[in-house]
Amino acid sequence: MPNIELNAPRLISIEDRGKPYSLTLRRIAKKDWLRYFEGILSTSENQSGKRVDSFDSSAARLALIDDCLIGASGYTLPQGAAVGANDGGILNVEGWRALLPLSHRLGAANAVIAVSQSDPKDEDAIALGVESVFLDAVWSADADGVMRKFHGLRHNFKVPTAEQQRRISRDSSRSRVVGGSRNGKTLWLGAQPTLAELYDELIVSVEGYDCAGESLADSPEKIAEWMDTYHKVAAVDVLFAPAAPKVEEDGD
Amino acid sequence: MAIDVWRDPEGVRMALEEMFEQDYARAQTRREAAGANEETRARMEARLPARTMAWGYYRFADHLFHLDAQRRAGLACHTRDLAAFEAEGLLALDRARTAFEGRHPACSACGQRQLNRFGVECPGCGVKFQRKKA
Repeated sequence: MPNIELNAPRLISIEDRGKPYSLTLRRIAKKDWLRYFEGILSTSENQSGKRVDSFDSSAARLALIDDCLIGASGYTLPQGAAVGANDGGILNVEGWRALLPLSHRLGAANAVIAVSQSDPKDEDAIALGVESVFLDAVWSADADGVMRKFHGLRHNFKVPTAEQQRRISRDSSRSRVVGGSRNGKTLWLGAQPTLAELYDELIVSVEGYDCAGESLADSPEKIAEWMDTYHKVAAVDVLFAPAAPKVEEDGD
Repeated sequence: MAIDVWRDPEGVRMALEEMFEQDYARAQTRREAAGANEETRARMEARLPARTMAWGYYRFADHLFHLDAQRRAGLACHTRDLAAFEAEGLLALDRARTAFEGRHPACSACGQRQLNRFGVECPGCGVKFQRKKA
């Protein structure tokens, strides 16, 4: 499987009622992702001593896609004229982004945030002084319009310091309360900007990513510049998560 | 009006005091429930004091406990590494701990915290307390 190309538009293929559609997104910049994280509504309420959480990112996901959409194909104009990917037709329709089906825009957003921790792909023992995180992610459709998941994207980090750990703890504990300190709703502010900063400080090398056809491999400066911010946040989130201890059930 | 939790040391102190009291009540329930059946234990745990503050205060309090644990373990932490609101929070933690320890003094023989300052005998080790005569 080829590497992820970070310096190229992303083509998101969607099939709806048997017909293929595709949405083209420009490279999602750091500021786009930070705006997305800011738009996530993550709250907790205290109901008789019990914590009730709620999470809504749909508005933030839609805003992200609307900001980054640069093309769409497979749709017909209201007059019935077919619109190709490259003829610029749809781009001439005023407010074309908002005319695309909501489910398609949300589907595209779900594809770009489809990043999760994966199991290590090799049998190597952990190397001292380097901590590796592996991610699985959906990126872009290939030439045939097929979306595939990339597995085992490797991020190698320096060992974090206690001070960096403290920054995460500090920033993830910050919140705002609306409606009074006792009965109010807690709005969690999120530590994603800090996670992205820490990625740049700690990254040593990566596997599975290219920039303009060249492997990013072990150039920390280039990695920090070109790595997708959502991947940075996901990788550092895994890096600072405690490892699950292996517990055997007692046989008797 | 929104309250920035990290800038509300009084709210943080109240949450910290609740956490100290909850921990004390939980430890006491655990001692009393030793040997009790599941149903009795569940009933006793349901009587534990509920949290009354907005949830953000407890999360920030957890962060302060973490900082305090590092400080107590002797890990060097220069004040310039602390944000002003963390320093305020650590002071609130000290105030909450002092108030809690005043309400629940430790037995001088076994260290177990007492229900209040007026007990005559430690329920943990049985030692008799002597009142200072005025």
